Amino acid sequence: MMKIAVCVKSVPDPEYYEKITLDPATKRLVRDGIPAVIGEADRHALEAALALRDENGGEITVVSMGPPAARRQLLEALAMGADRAFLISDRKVGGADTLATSYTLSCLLAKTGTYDVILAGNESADGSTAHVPSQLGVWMGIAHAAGVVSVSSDDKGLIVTKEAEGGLAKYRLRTPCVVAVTPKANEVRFMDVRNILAAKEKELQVWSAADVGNMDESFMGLAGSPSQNGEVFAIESSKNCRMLTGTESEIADQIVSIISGNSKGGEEA
Amino acid sequence: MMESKKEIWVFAECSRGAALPVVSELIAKAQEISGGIEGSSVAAVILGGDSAAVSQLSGLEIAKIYCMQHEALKDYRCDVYAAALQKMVEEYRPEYFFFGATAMGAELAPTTAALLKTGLAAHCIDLRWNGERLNCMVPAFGGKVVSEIYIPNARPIMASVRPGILGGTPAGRSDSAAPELVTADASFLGEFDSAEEFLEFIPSQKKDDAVEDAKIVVSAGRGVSTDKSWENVKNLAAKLGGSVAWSRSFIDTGRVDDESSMIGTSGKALSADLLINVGVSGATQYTCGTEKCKTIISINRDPRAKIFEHSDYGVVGDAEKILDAVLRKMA
Repeated sequence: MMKIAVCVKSVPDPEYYEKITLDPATKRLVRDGIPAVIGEADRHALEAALALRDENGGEITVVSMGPPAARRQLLEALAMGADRAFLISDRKVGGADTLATSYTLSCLLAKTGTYDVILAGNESADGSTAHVPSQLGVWMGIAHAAGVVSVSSDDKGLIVTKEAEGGLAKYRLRTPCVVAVTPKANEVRFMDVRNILAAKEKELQVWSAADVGNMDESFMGLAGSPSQNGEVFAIESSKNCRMLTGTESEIADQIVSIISGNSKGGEEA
Repeated sequence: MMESKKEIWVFAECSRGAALPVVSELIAKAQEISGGIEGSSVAAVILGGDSAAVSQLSGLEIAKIYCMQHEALKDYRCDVYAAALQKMVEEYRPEYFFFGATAMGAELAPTTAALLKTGLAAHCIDLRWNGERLNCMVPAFGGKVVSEIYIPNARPIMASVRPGILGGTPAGRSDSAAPELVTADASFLGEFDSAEEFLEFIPSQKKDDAVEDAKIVVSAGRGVSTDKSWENVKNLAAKLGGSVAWSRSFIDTGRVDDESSMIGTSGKALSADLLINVGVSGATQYTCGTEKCKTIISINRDPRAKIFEHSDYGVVGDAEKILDAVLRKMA
C-alpha cells in the first residue's frame, strides 16, 4: 500500500499562448478566453502515480492551489484515476511566488494526510520556474529530486533517474520524498470511461486557508513572497525578414550565398 | 580589514574538473553588475574543491574563491550540496548568488533558496542593475512575455540563468595576484544525514557537440515529414560542419526521441552565427531559444508561419526540394 500525493496546477492552455497580449495602458497580461488545463508535466506526474499504484496498491490524493475554477482540473485528475482531491483557494494565498506556493502546498498536504511519495510536474507551462517541487521538499524536510525521467520503487526507497550534465544520474531517495516528473518519464494512458463516470462520486474538497488551519500568514501569498513582479514586457522580434523568391534553383543559390556569408546585401530577387 | 558587505557570488558548477561554460557567462555578468555597485566584488563558489577548477577561475578578475571540501561532496546530492551552500551563505553573507539553470542548478538553486527563505528568479535571460535594484528578466508563458522579477528585502538575491543566453567573456586579472581562496568549514557534513543515495551516472550517448555551443545549426520542425527531408537536414548540417537540432513538435513525429538537441523554453537556447529552420512553425516556445542567433534562414510551406517574424531570410516552399537544390549546389 502506497500513499501517493500528486500536486497539479491549473494553467492557461499553452496552445493559446500566441493569443496572450499585453495591455499597453495597464501593463497587465490579457489572457481572456484562454481555457485552463492541467499542465503537461503534471499529467505525467499523475501517470507516474497511477503506475506506482498499479504496482504497489494504494491511494492517490491530488492537491492544488488556485482559483475556485481550478476545481475542474481536479475533477479531470479524478477522471484520470486519482482517488480524492483537495484545492486550496483563498485570496490570502494569492499572488504567491514559488516559496509561498510551496509553503501553502506543504500545509495542504499535511492537513490531508501522510504520504510515502509526493509527485509533481517538473515545471508548469505558464511560469515554468520548476522551483515548487524542490521547495516543497524543503518545507516538508524530506528528500526531493527534480528533472526526473524515470521513477520506480524498491524495498528501501524510491529509485529515480534524473537529468544531469552530460547524461543521467540515478539515486535512491528515502521516503517520504518529492519527485518532480518530466514528460519523458512515461506515456500518459488513455482515460478509462469507468474512471470518468466515477469521478463525480469521489471526494473533492475546496478549502480556504482557515479550513487548512495552522498556516503562518508571514509565509503565505504576496506578503510571504520574497520575490516580486516588476514590469512585464512582450517579446517582439527585432528581425526584419527578407523573403527569397524565384525557382528552387535560384532560391538555393541565394541560400548558398547567405551561408557563405557574402549575401547580407545581396540583390532582391 | 573589513569584509566587503556586497559580494556577488557565482556558483561554479564543475564537470570533469572544469567549470561549465555558463560559469564564465555568470562571472562576466557579475563583473558588469559589480561595476555599477559601489563597494561590491565578485566571488566564485566551488563545492568539492576541485583544484583544476580553482586554477581555471583564478585567472579571472574576481576577489575571492570560496571552497568547501569534504568526502560527502564527492558525488552531487541535492540535500548535501544545498546544506553546504546554506552554511556558506549564513557564514559569509553574500548580497547576490547566481546559478546556471543547468540540470543541477535548476534543482540546487531553489532548494538553497528555500532553506534560506529568500527569493530566486528562475531561468533568467538577463540580469539588469538599474542603479537601484537588480531586475531579473524571467520569461513566462513559453517565452511570450518577460517579467522583471526583483527581490526587495530577502538576501541573498538569487537568480538562475539559462546557459548560453548571456554570452560574454569574463575579464581576466589585470594583476598577477590570485583571488583570495577561502576554505569554508565542512566539518558539519560528517554528521549530515542525507536522504539521497547516489547510485550511478549514465553518460549520454551523444558526442560533445552540444547544440547550444554550435556556430551553425540546422533545425527540423514538424514540416520535416519525409525520410528524405530529414536526411537532407542531417546532410546539410554535416556539410556545413554544424549541428542538427529540432523543435518539440518534431519529437512528436517520432523521428527523434530525445530533448538534448531540442530548442526552446524547456530545451536549449542557441547562440549560433547561422541557424537554418526547416519546417519549423515558430511557436513562441521555440523562438525564445533562437533570439541570440545572428543570421536565421527559415523554410516553411506556410507564408503566414510565425517563424518568418523571427528570421532574416524566409523561403516559402517545399523544404525537401529546396534542400535538395541547396545540397546539389554545395556538392
